[in-house]
Amino acid sequence: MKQLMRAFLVGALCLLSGQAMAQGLTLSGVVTDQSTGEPLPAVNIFVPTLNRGAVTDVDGNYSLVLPAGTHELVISSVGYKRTRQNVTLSRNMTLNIEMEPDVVGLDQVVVVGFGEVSRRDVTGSISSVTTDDIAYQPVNTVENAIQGKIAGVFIQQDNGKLGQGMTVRIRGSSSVTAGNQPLYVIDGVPAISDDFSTNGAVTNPLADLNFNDVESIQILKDASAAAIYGSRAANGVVLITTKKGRAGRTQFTYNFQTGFSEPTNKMEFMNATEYRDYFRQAAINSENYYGDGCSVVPNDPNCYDYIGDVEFYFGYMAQGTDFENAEVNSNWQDEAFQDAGMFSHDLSAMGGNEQTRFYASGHFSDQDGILIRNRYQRISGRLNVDHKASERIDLGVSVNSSRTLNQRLAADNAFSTPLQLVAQSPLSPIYIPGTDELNPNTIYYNGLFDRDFASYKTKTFRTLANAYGTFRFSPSLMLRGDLGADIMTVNDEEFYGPETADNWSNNVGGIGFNTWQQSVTYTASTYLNWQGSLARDHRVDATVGTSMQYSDYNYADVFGRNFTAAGLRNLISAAEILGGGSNGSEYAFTSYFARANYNYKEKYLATISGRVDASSRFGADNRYGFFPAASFGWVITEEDFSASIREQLSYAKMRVSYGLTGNAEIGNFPYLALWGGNSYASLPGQSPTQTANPDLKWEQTSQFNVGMDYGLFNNRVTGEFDWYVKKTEDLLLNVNVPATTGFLSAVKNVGSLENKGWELVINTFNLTGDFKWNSSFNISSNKNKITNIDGQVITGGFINRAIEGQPIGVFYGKEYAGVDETNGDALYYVYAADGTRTTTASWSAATDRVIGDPNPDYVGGFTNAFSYKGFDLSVLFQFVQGNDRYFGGMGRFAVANGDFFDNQTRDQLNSWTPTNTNTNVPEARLYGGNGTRHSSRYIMDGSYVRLKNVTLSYNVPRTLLQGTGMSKVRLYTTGINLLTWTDYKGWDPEVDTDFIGGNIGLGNDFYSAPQAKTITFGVEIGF
Amino acid sequence: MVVALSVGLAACDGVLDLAPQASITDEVALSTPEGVQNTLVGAYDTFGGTNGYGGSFVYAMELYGSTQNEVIWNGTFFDQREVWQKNIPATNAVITGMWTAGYNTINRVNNVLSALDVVSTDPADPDRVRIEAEARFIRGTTYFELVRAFGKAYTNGDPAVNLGVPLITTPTRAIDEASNVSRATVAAIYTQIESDLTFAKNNLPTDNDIYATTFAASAMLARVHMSKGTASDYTAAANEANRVITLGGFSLEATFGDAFNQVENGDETVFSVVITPLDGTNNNQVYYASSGFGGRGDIDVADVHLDQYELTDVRRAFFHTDSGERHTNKFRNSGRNVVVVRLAEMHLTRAEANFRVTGTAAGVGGVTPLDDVNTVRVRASATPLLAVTLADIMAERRRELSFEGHIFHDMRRTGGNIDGEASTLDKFVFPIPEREILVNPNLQQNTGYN
Repeated sequence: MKQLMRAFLVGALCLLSGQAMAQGLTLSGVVTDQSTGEPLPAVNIFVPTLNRGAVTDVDGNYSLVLPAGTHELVISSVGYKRTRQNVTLSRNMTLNIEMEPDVVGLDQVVVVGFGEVSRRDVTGSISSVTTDDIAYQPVNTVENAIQGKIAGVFIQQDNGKLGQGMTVRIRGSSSVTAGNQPLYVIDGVPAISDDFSTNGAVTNPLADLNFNDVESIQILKDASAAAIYGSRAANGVVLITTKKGRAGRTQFTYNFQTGFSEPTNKMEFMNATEYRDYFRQAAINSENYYGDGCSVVPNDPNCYDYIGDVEFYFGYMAQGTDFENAEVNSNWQDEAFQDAGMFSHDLSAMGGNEQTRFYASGHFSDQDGILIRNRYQRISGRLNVDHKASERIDLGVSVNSSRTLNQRLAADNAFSTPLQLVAQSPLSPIYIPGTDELNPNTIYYNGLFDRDFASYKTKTFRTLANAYGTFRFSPSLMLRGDLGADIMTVNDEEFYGPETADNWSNNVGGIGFNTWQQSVTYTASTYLNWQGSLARDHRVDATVGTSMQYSDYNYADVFGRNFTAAGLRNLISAAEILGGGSNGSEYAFTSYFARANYNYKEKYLATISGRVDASSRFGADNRYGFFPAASFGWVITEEDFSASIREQLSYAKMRVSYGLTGNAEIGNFPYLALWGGNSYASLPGQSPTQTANPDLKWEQTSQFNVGMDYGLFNNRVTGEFDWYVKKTEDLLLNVNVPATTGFLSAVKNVGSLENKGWELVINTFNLTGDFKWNSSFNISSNKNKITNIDGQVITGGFINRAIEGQPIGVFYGKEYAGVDETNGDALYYVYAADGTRTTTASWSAATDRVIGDPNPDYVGGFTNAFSYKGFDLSVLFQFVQGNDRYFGGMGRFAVANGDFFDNQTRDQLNSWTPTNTNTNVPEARLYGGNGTRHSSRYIMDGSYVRLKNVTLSYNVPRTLLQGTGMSKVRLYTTGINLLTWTDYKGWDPEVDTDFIGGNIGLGNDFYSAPQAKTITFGVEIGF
Repeated sequence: MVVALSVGLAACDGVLDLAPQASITDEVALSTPEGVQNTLVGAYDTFGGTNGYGGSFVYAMELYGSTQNEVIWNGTFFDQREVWQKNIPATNAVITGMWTAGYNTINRVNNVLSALDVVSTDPADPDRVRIEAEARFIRGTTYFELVRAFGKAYTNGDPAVNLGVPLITTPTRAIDEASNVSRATVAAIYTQIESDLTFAKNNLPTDNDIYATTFAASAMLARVHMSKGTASDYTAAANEANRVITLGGFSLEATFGDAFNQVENGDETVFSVVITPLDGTNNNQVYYASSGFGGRGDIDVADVHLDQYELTDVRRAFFHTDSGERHTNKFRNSGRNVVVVRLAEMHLTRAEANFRVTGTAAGVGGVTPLDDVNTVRVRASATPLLAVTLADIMAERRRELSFEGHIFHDMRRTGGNIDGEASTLDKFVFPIPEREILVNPNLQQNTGYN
């Protein structure tokens, strides 16, 4: 390949020397905005037949030397409609051009992998979001900011803790075992999006990114768009492009906003009186149900004294307070939440001249989580510089450096996670009565000790940098090289004071952990791009190139205990260092790719592309994978026959594509037989960790997409429709193997799955004029089905499974049949072979079957934007429909009709009694486990509609700003998650607990924090 | 320049030849004597882990075998509760963990045994002999725990017909059809156990630091013979116990409580698994100890349990109380060793075995069962008995060895009752884990679980 590249370069140089600039006539002029009359910089004026073009300067001037004769000019610029114009030259001539703003976006520049194209030329399925949709949203991460705005992309924040996991699925889950998150590419550099959390609860590395720097986001959804990323692209690709400088006066923008957050919802739990009466009855019921209590037959070894037990525990909980008169009535739920404020400062500058342009920004934000102790701070700086060294050479760098501090919380399954406080009894005082000291004598560990005596700080230092250079051999031939680095250092500092010893068996005098992780990723790519015409009307844009990526990961930790004095939390003060360790791993990819776009008269479009990838993750024999794709587009409205209906059908383009993409997110050395280290009695040991699988190869996803872009009624209504089938073969599956081998699973290429779906986008300009009203609606549906996993059953979550013929992660177990009206027993269904069903009180005897599906049927969003004079109002509703959630993890304790002493949700007051037989809640029985095993009792519909974002802003008129030095003043207020409509009974239906997850364990709620409802006020000033 | 540099970097396939940093490959792992020794240490790791003696072999078997109103699972973990309620689905995590970790240990041992030539090609080389003997001690003991949990008791029906567990004695190098091993009979597993433990007994040193000794193997063989329950087995058991008592150099701790929560093995400890402060915790400690000691305090002891002790008996008071719940002290502290076999058990084993062969008269060791029982009682400040019956011996076993995981096995081998029901019932055999049934078509589920 080295030789090939060299040959290519030599060839390219020869081409260059063959190009001679012909003498001719000068065409020059000024390009202006049709609506404002202001001159436009950076407009392209191109003569396709001659492969010759010019770009306007800061003042909109251009100049072009052309031979005499008639030429067709193509004039294009971001945000303006592209036009074609014929000009006949017989002498030097001036031609001033007016450009019409493009509200529809057909001439938007769409960034694609290794290049960019006009939206008009796109034949694949690509969704775009621009800075207007993202900037200054008072949310934690960039994914939050685009939630509900893009068809075909399901985005879920897994819970309300800051900086934690996001589930992003572009057109469904394409793998069972390998990764399902998309590839993120920031300014051409594949960004690390792995989880660096050390406590098992996934964190989100993209939270490091200051999304106010983002110019645009492109989501490559079909194979044609994504195949240029080959083996990395099966889950779609998210291309993030940051802002570039523009020639002209330096523009400063300052933005400040501040606000507050609270939970979207609180649940209702029993108060002290209800709790006391309920559990008393539960004990009596158990005694009646399970036989005589000890009060009846003293000293009977076979008795269990439920009633005595309940009174004993009440006394213990109350800690000497008078529980008969509800002296203490603790609301533990309220203790889990805090008043959460936030503020942010952003300052940016952009400008430059024709030779050198820059964009620079600084950002600081500080956001409290809604849960106690949770806080996220981010400092970020960016500098993007582009420089034109000569007519032939451009170069530039972009550097982004950030530091975040996330004050984290324990994972959802820890007693110390704030929301597990709801399990405490309302009879238990929060503080020792008569003091301000926390009460240590609660039925479960009092997690408030962690609030006061523990800390968990995750500091992330991240530098994303890239440098590029382009060399123009001719106006049509360009060579570009990129070097990029993503350097991420994560430090976790955990401390648990001696006061938290009840929750830490190892905690003697305080215990502390310190972990350092570093990930360094280098990427390099080079490609040659040729744009021109093969013959008149046959335009071609071709790219060929190569890229490599190398990633190195290192880890070290140390932990110790017995801190010398209160207040000292660094391990230097630990008298006893208990241990430590280090670890590391690497991977690399090399790739060769090519793409050609073909355009005939703007009418017939085609793209073919291919990529060869090689990865260190596979054995030498299966290292290479080939990922080709092709797509075609037909712009119907360019055909003569459609001219008569141009008023009604303003624009129509049919697109069809097919291609292969891959997935290699399977860990670094799955093909080798490996051994790992362990220890016994502090001595080094080793043991096998995986068996060899030299035949392991790429998982492949083929995708067929057919779509249409349309514009109706002079483009008052525009949009897209896409339909796709995505099939994944040779699944890289973590196959269960007999444990008698000493192994639990092995990665194999087994089986297949498919995703089928459609996406619809409708944008309308409802009202134009002074009062403007635009709407944008998107909806998409994806059906996932596992078609073959070799007959295996793969489990995850609490009761999730991957089963053939079913969507990934279905809930599988017993179907709850309600309550036996005669005795209050929980009932379950037994299914006969013919499908008829009967009920049984025996959980074990009930039939196991698919009882729910965590995957949504439909997701989407509906935005309405209104503007009148200086006022703008934007309202976004977001919806998810048809997904089940499993509440059993928590429900088996909190919605368990008095099984354990956990406080119960108030709906349990409706449990069966001899006089309340028509209910769905079984009879309360202490320690009875009546209906509390995993079953569909705890499956709930997680559908919701949410008022996701409301922003009202006012632009102070320019006339008022004259003389102030300010060019823009915008005042705004934004509300996030203001209202939620759902039948879900838990805190919030947008949930996936953080301690079990993965591809299969979907849709579980386990004391997971609800989402934040946030209201902010801000001001943006330009000067 | 950037262009040139990136061309140079991009077109370089050499970067793909990477090797793991934190792992080694099969060929490297067992290529040196140190590698083989480290693999043996790795086998102790799971053997003493939370699914082995550092947990399930002890506390879960105690929950399974005890009376529900006496030893109470009061925690919120459903899987342990199912074991305690003796109503165990095949999906239960405790039994699944015991099975998977057990076979993980066995595969580690089999790797050691496959590479003995790497230690030395001389079959008499002392390191080689010791490594083989330790490995076979671990394998024999692990099979013994597995067959007693997942198969019927040797004394229940015909062990040559009853199914035990799959018998695997070679390391796994590839996973294929041959990996779907079916269950061997209970008798076949016992044959392997006796072969392994006898080799261990004959070849292990008398003193072996923290690792298994010849006396640990004898003690384990004593348990094996007691489980088989024939007259000749009782004699064999008495002989093995007697060997430990007379030759081992062990002595009962003067204070009962000193036999537990040891940082280093005490005089009474025949074999323990080592728990360092770094390991911190083991699951016995987690579930038995109260939160004040860093445990979860999930296993409570009811008043009725105390009724079996005299008031003077120090074992009656060997508990700690937290939140009004009573917990045993035997696994109270974190970072302390878990005693697997201690001398007191050997006295009681010799007493029972002798009694079953020769009645109250002196038997093996020239000691009467009464003497052995009283040796244990006196140390606990209980009144010495004047005469002894088999029931007395079994009751003393319960008093002395409570919470150490014996009751289930004692009841099954003697055909006694567990929680008021016959120990021969199907529910007193674990189900084969569902994950195994699903993945291995040759595996037969135990009756009562289909």
